[in-house]
Amino acid sequence: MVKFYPLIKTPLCLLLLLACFQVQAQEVTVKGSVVSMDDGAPIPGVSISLKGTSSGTFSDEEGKYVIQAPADGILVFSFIGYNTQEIPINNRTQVDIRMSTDVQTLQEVVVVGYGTQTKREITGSIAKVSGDKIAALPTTSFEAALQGQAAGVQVIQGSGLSGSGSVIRIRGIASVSANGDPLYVVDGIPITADNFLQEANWQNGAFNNNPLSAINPSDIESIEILKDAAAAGIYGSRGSNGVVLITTKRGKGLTGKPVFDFSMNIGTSSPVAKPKFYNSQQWLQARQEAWENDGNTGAVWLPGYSDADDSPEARLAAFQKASQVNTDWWDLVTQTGLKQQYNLSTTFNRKKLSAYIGGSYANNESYIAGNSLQRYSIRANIDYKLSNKLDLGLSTSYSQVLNHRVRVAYTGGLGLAMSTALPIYPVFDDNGDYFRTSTSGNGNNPLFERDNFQGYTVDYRTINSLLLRYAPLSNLKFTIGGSYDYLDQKNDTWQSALLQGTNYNQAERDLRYVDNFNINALAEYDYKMGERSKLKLLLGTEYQQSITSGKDNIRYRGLDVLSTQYKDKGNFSETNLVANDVYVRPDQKWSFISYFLRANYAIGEKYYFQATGRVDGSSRFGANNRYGFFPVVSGAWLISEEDFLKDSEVLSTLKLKAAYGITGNASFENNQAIGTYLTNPNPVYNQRPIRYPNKVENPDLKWETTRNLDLGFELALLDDKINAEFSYYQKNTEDVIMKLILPNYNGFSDFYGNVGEIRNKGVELTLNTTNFQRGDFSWSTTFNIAYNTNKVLSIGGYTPDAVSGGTNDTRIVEGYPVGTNYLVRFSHVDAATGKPVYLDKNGYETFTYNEQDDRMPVGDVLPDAVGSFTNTFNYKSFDLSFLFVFVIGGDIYDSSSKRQLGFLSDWNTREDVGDHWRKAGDVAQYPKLTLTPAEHGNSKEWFNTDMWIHDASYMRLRNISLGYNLPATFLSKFRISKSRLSFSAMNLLTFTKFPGLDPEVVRDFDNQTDRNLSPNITYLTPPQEKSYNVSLNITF
Amino acid sequence: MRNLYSIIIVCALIAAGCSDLLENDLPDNEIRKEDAIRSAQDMQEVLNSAYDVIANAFNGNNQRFAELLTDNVTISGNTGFLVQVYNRSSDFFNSDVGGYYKDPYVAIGRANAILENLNAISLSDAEKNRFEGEAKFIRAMCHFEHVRLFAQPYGYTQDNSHLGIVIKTSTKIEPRQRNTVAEVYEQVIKDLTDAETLLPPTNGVYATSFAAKAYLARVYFQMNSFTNAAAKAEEVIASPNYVLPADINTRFGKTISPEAIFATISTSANDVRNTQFRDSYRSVNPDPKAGLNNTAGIAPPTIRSSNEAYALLTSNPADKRASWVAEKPYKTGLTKVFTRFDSTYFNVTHVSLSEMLLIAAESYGELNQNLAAAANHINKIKGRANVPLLSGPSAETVILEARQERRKEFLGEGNRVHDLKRIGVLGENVIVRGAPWDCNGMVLQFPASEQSTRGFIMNPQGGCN
Repeated sequence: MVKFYPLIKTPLCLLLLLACFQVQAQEVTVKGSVVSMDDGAPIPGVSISLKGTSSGTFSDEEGKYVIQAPADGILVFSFIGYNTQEIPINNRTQVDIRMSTDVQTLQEVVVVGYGTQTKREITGSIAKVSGDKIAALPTTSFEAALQGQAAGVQVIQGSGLSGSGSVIRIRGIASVSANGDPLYVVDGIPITADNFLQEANWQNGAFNNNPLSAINPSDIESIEILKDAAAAGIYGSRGSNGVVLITTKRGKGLTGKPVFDFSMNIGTSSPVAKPKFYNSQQWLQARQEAWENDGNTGAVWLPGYSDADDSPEARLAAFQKASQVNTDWWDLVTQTGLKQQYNLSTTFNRKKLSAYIGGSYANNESYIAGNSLQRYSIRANIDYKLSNKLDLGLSTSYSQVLNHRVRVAYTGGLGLAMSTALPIYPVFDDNGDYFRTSTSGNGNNPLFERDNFQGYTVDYRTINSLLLRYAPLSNLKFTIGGSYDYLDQKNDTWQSALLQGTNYNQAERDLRYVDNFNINALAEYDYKMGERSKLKLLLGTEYQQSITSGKDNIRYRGLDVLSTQYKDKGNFSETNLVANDVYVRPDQKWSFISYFLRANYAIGEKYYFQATGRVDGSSRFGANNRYGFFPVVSGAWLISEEDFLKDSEVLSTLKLKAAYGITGNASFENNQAIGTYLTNPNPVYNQRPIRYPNKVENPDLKWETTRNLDLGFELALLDDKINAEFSYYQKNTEDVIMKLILPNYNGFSDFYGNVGEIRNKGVELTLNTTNFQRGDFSWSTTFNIAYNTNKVLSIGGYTPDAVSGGTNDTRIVEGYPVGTNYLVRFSHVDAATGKPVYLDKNGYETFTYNEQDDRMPVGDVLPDAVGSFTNTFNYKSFDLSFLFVFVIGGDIYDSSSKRQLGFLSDWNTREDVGDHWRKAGDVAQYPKLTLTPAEHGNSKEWFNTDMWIHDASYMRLRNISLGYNLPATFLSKFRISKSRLSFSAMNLLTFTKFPGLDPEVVRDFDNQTDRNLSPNITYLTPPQEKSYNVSLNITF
Repeated sequence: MRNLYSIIIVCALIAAGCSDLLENDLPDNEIRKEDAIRSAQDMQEVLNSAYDVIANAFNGNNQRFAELLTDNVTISGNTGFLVQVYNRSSDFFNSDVGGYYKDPYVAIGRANAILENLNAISLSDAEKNRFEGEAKFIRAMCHFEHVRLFAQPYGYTQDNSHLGIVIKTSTKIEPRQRNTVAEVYEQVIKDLTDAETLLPPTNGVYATSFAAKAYLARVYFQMNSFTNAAAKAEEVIASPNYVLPADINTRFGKTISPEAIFATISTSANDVRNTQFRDSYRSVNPDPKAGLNNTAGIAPPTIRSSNEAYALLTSNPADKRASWVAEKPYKTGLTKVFTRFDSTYFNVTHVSLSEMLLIAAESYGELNQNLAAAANHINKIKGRANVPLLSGPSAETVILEARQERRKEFLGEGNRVHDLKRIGVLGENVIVRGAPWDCNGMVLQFPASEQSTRGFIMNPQGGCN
């Protein structure tokens, strides 16, 4: 790439020489305009000076300037955040320039925990993603837009359902039953980001709610991802999974008139793939074959039509009737969804008051008919200077999210279309009613179900904070802040009497309220130690408390209950309420009390040292371990500032970084340290009250401890045309919290203990290059890749059966990665009999499927490497960019294919089952078809073998976008300062060998352990969506 | 810097008062372990919770697994967890078996909690003896019923050194290995012997000294220890507390049977402690509007009568117990079913006078003594059932007749599999549905949870085909 780089800048000495000779040249009036390379918008406030003199001017609000200068003079254009440019006048009177942003500059301000630092002084590993990059991707929730944006930050999007959340892993995973996600902090407040607020997933339609979707991505100024110990250490016991700092837009720093921004996006949603199932004829034929393989004669019995015990004549009649039907349920359940988003915001800064105020509306339909997510949001961030020493910052946001849910996966809907809604079932029966195979439940008809089920999750969320900053001296500052994050989540369902098989309709509501309070106090002190050294101290304390309360089973019943409580509240009478069912949940409360310190010591502009320490106490910790201490030391050496490199023309920056320290993870189930009894004063056995042991006590319960070693360098070459960042890390996590299945002879099922040890090791590389830049054309590339190896070093005296990853058979196995597929091995199909041949634990072939003895570690869900590359082309007012994301290695367990491809039961069958054994001598991929599990060597119909494990590698064209910046001269007629029109497509192309639907998999999770262990396990999981979008941005 | 110091001081002050900020209130229905047992009332509530568990574990759940291993029943379909048990191939992921397995240990845990707190609270001697006796009775009953289902029977090896189950006599959470069958029986007998002396002769619906004696009789009988078995059985038979009612159906009735020595009770349709009996065997239409006998449109019960059991009960139409089976029309055709467990709710008798009479009788037969008394015991059962009585039988006839009456009398109650194994241990050639009594699958498999710690040895699999 380097070879494309043209030397456009003349060496400095040459310029100086020129200037000396041309001092006496003729004066001219030069006019022009300054616009941004990124979007063509005018840049006000740019300093334009005549080289070698002190004379100069600034660009006005429309980016225009006028300056008197010698005809052969050189103009220097400079502005913070942009690359300084020197342009010879060459006798021109009009000099228009386009300035490119200087994202790599060492002066760039980066948000860190409890403050900001310049890029120069940072000793840790922090990835900054600007708000416009987030907003450029029309995702409903911001975290999905982080995919591919930072090395070592793995983002798996949560399926194509509206409102589903992503799983984010920063530098691997070291948690089993504690939360493995990063800590999310919005404007300094650790916010509620619990995916398991609602318990019953099957009720939610098989996907976890995403509280982050209440945050409007357009309000975000930047996201900083704290990846290593030096950066995240200030978050102590909450830092080891990394921290995502979300900073919202403010009015500060702006000058001049209020600026208004309007943006809109309209797009479509369709699935990235459609499963290929047998049609009715093929399915019947396969089933008949299975029936005959089992030694039966006559027509096979058909679920929904006939029984195995029926007479041959009855079975034949049913078979013939079923042959007349061929329904494509997938097509009936899916649609082309419409997505729309509108944002309007204003920023202003008048004297003492500055503000950002923004409002938005979004309605994102998915490709599943009836599924959408609607969000209304408003945010006001206001700063007010009370005096020179005192100022006040208020941030407040309110949003309302209405997620119109449908059933998927194992709960119905699209899941039915992929499983038990067979092509032989008609939509309507002979009477014109919905066809159903049973008189209660969905009867395997997703359309019937859609008409008889409604589901909503309604979030009301407000995040507020108030900060008081007092700076008695220029180098001393105190900050006191308080915040309140409130989430009200209503989970509503409605089911008709028909669907339930009852004589009443039912509208049910589960309620959750999360009150999350935070107060903190900070003191910052800058101390100059002599000429060259600086000491910066930060001292702080923080208290956070969160209380989740709620009610379950608020049920209204009756034939007059015609919709959900959300839709129809007020129309039910209280007599419909089933008062006895209402369950008031005990409060879930947790709290942290913390003290922290950060000291930064800088010598010259070369040597930087940082020490952080935090003491955290938490209600979650046992009495023997109430407080933990988390120290981190780090340093950076800017070698490029040393005399021997200072003048290098090739090397502009070289910075070495190293850090060592301890971080923790304390995000786990509440109240697990104490042993308790439950009491039930009501008549229970023999009409008498009872009390009984409820929980095992563990007074030693504490945080997970991670020892981090981080080494890395940052490199910039050729005037920042090439930027590279490399990191190596090793994270050894001890005291890993596991929800351990206890041997039942103890009388308890499980308990939380600190038993494991997990190591993550990896390297990350980020490369940003400007490959070509001349005139109006430029081409730049960003590339990042991160390798991680993960290994469970110890699980105490426990076995792989001690921790269960839900129903997915992923396990914790010593010596293997977190989330190891622990399954019986399939060898081949026996050519003589068509039976599957398994391998026992010693590797010997067997026809018997023996889960108890023969399960082995056969795969793992974690990728070897993840990364992305983006190419951006700019030509005049056009820009074109491609973002590819890729995953290398790891395995997918395609769990539902064991029914779709294996044992022929009452499921849809995939076309690829065509390659199955039919007669002696056949060499086939799949065994003979059968309706009897014993024929496949099992005593039950569920087979978990490595036959369903596939390489998870893929590359995906995540986003392609073409943008056009409307000409400023045209826009100025409408008093518009800039406007951009763009077309984009997301998830347009996928390259993978995975034979299932979609290699990017987050299914619904039962609990935290499941979430950590079982990404990449599919079970009728809806594929990701593909979308085409048109966006318009206007600034005025 | 002065400001810095003041901040530090403020922080220190906050820290001093902060520990409370980390304490959580417990929900109203939750109480710290150390505060949980403070009075006799508290202890009574813990004890009641142990009975609560027993009432659910032995609501037909234990009994149906035992029955599924025998020739008394058949089951529909070729898949499912109960089919696995019936096919004698239950595995460690069988969640029906796994779901049952935990319960007796929960009851044992509660019993142990009582025993560990006996000296921690002030109790009268009578209260203390009763608590201790009941806890030990529960502990013994649960260990005994567990070792019978999850291990090869007593006598499978000469010295009973084969693996049994884990004995739990404390609430300590710790990894354990399986004890031998000899050790388990020793513990069970010790607990029951203690309970026998500690418990009062009457105790409401709860365990009594006679319940302990009756279980001892059952345990000794299972060990083929006939002298001891007969002796304990006779102690119970001699008690005026228990009489054989004329009605054959009282052991599963709505009031406590006059012959019940220990039973768990269901008090109403909202307090059903016979769920698995009802749901596994129920032969009638559960929909009250459809009418009980309208079964043609519904599926037959999960567990049905085998032809053999049906023939045994119906061969003499005068036998009142012939009414415990029937052949009824269902959606899938005529099916032989049990009718004993059709009510919505009923009490479950765990040990009865009938069993004592038959234990004593069979024991006398085996010992070849007291044959007249043996005939007399058997005839009480026969007479009630309205079948011809024995007169002057030989020891062999006593044994044969006692066994036949046991099979009929306790049909569906889960006794037969243990009888088959016991007789197998005696050296008789016992083949159950084509497989020997001691093949691997005649023992239920432990759930996967038990091998979550290293070293636990699971039961061997397969071998019954």
